[in-house]
Amino acid sequence: MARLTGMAATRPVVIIGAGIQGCATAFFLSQRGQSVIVLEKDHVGRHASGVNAGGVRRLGRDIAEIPLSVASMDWWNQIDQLLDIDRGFHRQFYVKVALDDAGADLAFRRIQQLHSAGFQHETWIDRDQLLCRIPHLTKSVFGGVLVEGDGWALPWKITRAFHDKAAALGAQFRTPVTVTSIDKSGEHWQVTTDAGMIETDIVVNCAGAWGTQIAEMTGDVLPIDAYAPMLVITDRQPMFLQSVVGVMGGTLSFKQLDNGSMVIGGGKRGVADAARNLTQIIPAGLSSFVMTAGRVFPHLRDVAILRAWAGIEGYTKDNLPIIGNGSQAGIIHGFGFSAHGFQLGPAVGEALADLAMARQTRVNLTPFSPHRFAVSPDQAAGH
Amino acid sequence: MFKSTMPEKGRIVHLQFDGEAITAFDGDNLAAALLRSGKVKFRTAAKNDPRGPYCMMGVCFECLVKIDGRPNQQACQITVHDGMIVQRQNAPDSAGKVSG
Amino acid sequence: MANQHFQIAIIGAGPAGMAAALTTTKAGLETIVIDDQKGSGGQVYRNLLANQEASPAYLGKSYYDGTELAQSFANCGAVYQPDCTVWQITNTHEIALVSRGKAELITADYIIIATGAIERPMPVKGWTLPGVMSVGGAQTLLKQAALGADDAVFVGSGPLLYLTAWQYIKAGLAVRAVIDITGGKQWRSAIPYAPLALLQPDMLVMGREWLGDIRRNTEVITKVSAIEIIGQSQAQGVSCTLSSGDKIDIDANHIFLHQGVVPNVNLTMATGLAHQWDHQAHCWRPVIDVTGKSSDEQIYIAGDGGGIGGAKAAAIAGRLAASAIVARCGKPRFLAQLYYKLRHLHYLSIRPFLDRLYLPSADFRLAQTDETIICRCEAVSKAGVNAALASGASGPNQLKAFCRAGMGRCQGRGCGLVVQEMIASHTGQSMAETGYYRLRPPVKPITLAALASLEGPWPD
Ligand SMILES: Cc1cc2nc3c(=O)[nH]c(=O)nc-3n(C[C@H](O)[C@H](O)[C@H](O)COP(=O)(O)OP(=O)(O)OC[C@H]3O[C@@H](n4cnc5c(N)ncnc54)[C@H](O)[C@@H]3O)c2cc1C
Ligand SMILES: Cc1cc2nc3c(=O)[nH]c(=O)nc-3n(C[C@H](O)[C@H](O)[C@H](O)COP(=O)(O)OP(=O)(O)OC[C@H]3O[C@@H](n4cnc5c(N)ncnc54)[C@H](O)[C@@H]3O)c2cc1C
Ligand code: FES
Repeated sequence: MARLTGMAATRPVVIIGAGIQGCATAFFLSQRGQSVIVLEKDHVGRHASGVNAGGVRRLGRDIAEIPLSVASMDWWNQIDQLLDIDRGFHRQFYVKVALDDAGADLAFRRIQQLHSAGFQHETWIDRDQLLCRIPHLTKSVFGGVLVEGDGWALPWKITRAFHDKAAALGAQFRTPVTVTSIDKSGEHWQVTTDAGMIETDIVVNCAGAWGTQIAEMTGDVLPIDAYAPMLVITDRQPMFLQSVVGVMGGTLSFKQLDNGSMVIGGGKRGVADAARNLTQIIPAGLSSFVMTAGRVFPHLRDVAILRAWAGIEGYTKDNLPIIGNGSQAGIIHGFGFSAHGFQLGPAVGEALADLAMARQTRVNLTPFSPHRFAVSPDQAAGH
Repeated sequence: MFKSTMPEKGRIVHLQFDGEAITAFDGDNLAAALLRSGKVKFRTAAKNDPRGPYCMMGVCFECLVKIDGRPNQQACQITVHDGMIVQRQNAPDSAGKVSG
Repeated sequence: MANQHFQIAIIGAGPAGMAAALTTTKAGLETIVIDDQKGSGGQVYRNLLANQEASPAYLGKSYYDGTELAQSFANCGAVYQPDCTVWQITNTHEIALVSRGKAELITADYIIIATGAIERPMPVKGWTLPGVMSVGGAQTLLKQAALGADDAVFVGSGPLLYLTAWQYIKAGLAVRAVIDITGGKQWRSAIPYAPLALLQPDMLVMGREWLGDIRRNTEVITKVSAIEIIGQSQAQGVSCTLSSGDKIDIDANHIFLHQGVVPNVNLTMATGLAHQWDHQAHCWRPVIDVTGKSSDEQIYIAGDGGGIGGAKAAAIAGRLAASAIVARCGKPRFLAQLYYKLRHLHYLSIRPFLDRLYLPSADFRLAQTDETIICRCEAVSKAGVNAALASGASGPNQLKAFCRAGMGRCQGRGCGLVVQEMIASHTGQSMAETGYYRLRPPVKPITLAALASLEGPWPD
């Protein structure tokens, strides 16, 4: 590939998928004057990036992911200026409450572990302080692990804003266009879609839960599983919460939007049918995390749930995303965010843009290397 | 104003609507009882927009009131009981504060 | 009833659900009937058994026609669960119920969805004002609470409007006016189907009687091009523009709107069943075969929920679906099925005529002024929907994210068809291509405590 490091390629970079990763990558590339074409089989933000819980947190991340998450937070803190929007990021605090001894124990161990790894952002908050900051919390709370400055954002709004800004800077978005094959032709790649073929030097795979199929088209075997985590939204209630709340040792995510509605999730999965873009809600799963919400906020007994939904997301074996160069030159992967990729979006977009322009990335991407799952195609065919 | 088209009968039930005493008949549905008493405004939607029952079959959610402290009760789907305390339900405004 | 399994679960106790239960219980199949109302009868026979004693004559013969069905249902031996809402059916045929704040899951070998119809939205300026109700709502008050309002104005078209105005007159109520929006164009497109409608002479005779009595007792205004409801905090009148350009203002505190009924697809869509756009009736309907079998082999749809046919067709559709299931359970009912199929066709013979005659014109299906509210729950006006379209929303689900239309409690029941048609006319796509909101459980809102009750009591 006759291309100078750090320079714009002449052919547009082709990004597959207009979720937050694809849109953010398109934004950073366009900002640097690199032409891009984004191909999206449905519409912008149709999948995980438009329907997720909107949690913007460093709290509770795998240690390997913290530097990337911290880098992303820099972008979140200037997201309004970056994307020309208003109130894009609701900067609050994020707390995982301990509801019993076991929870408190987990919390202490977690904080210690982070400290020995050199991270100070997660701190213990005791019961009284916590009740002072969140008066409606159950009185039987023990305390919690807290990160100042984490918060939430409206997923669709942010994904859309990355799209709008990228488009304004010249990025081309083609929807609905499905990529059906990717083939090497001499020095470059031919990306075939249901609406014609595009030649390019660089393909960025931001296809979310469908990333495995795209990888396969380039000869990379990178298996992920598609699952459909579920969420519910309630009707509007008077404001009582200015933070995002989870539980230690459990999987709750609880926030109140500025219109008063609450978004509640909790790791429970519905049925995902990625091939047909379908999800199904499992009632018992909803019930389980709503009960957890009740243990944290018992006063919400009579609040009504208006809708439940699920989004399709790709999960890797180690729950860390796949970010990095593929086995062939010109192929870059960024998918498999395992249900915590929304917050990472801005930093991932920047990193993928760096890779596409063969620049040094700000964050070391080694923990996310696609090659950690390396299996040869023969091996893969074997099972 | 709504009125009975049949001779009224049945045990009288007493309720309160925003502090005002109202009588209804045992077995009445709450929306009907309020309408019979001349109440057509049951709640406000955002921006103080007044609303009252529309479909009477439980699908429009315009008849929401607070009953005995519980919000979001569909008046057209609920039977009155003696001593029922009913309040108009006012929507939180955009800042999430309950207006009115 | 916790964690129970039934051979047949019927959702809805209107004519379709009740009739289906008669057939399944007679065949000895263990049947549960779930309905969210306090009593059986559905919309058409609402409160019928309770009304037996006083039997107000003003409700008319068509109402009391349901008596035998309702009485037989009461004695048929099905487990009947009133005041209970089905909020989800999963693809493993788990049925999620909620009744008085408590949720439960049951399962069934076969499910008959008989959830009936809802009224087509009629977005005119001021239709959210207290005092404005749907005609169906006014009729329900009459049937359920013997309540009516003097000097009301009926606006719109369709059999339910004429029937209700007629019932009002028979109840001795003064009807201020009937504003009939049925246009000449509708008449011209319906007339070719009149001969088919003659197969149901009693329906036509009944319709004539209603219209005759209405004309004799109240002013009927026709050739209408626009409607507006006047009032600040409550309805004070209707302003009606005639095609001649003249304007008529009528004072009224009670205004009843109606422009037909459409299948209530919220449960069938949220269940993931296949649906199609019905061009003739201008609504969505589930894809079903002649026996009512949906795209899911175990789920049948009977009555108006599968396509509007009216009360009698609904009862026969219930019989037909039930006998098809009974047959699949090893008890073939060839003759009965043939008979039900023919009767069903017979009852449907009037639909091509009625659907065309009473399909409101686009003027009334879509709002006429910018400030008219389209989505009542989220108070989104026509201008708001148009702004979303202008900023690039290209389908109903995207539009939700842009302007919140369809995001409220009613889950699009009051705006879905209007929004869909606004999008279609903006993009130039057909209604079928445009599609509908992606509907999600719960089909009706459910409280946190009720949902959590599947796990246990709410923490204090
Ligand atoms: C319910 C839920 C809650 C979540 N909550 C949080 C949270 O609180 N905080 C957080 O940080 N993260 C959260 N996440 C995770 C986060 O949403 C995802 O990690 C992130 O959105 C992934 O972005 P993406 O761009 O990789 O994927 P997606 O948004 O799925 O985008 C991929 C796109 O690629 C397109 N595509 C696929 N194949 C093709 C093809 N062949 N041709 C063209 N286009 C194609 C798809 O249509 C899709 O639009 C949650 C996820 C879910 C589902
Ligand atoms: C308000 C109204 C009034 C009408 N009045 C007349 C009339 O007077 N004469 C006439 O010929 N036609 C009338 N119709 C037309 C009517 O649709 C049919 O005539 C007939 O009622 C259809 O019967 P069905 O059994 O299909 O449905 P319905 O009679 O509508 O019965 C469906 C039942 O299912 C229940 N249900 C719906 N969803 C759920 C759920 N998720 N969980 C539990 N239960 C549920 C409903 O509450 C209802 O009781 C009316 C329609 C409406 C909407
Ligand atoms: S009046 Fe429509 S839900 Fe009660």
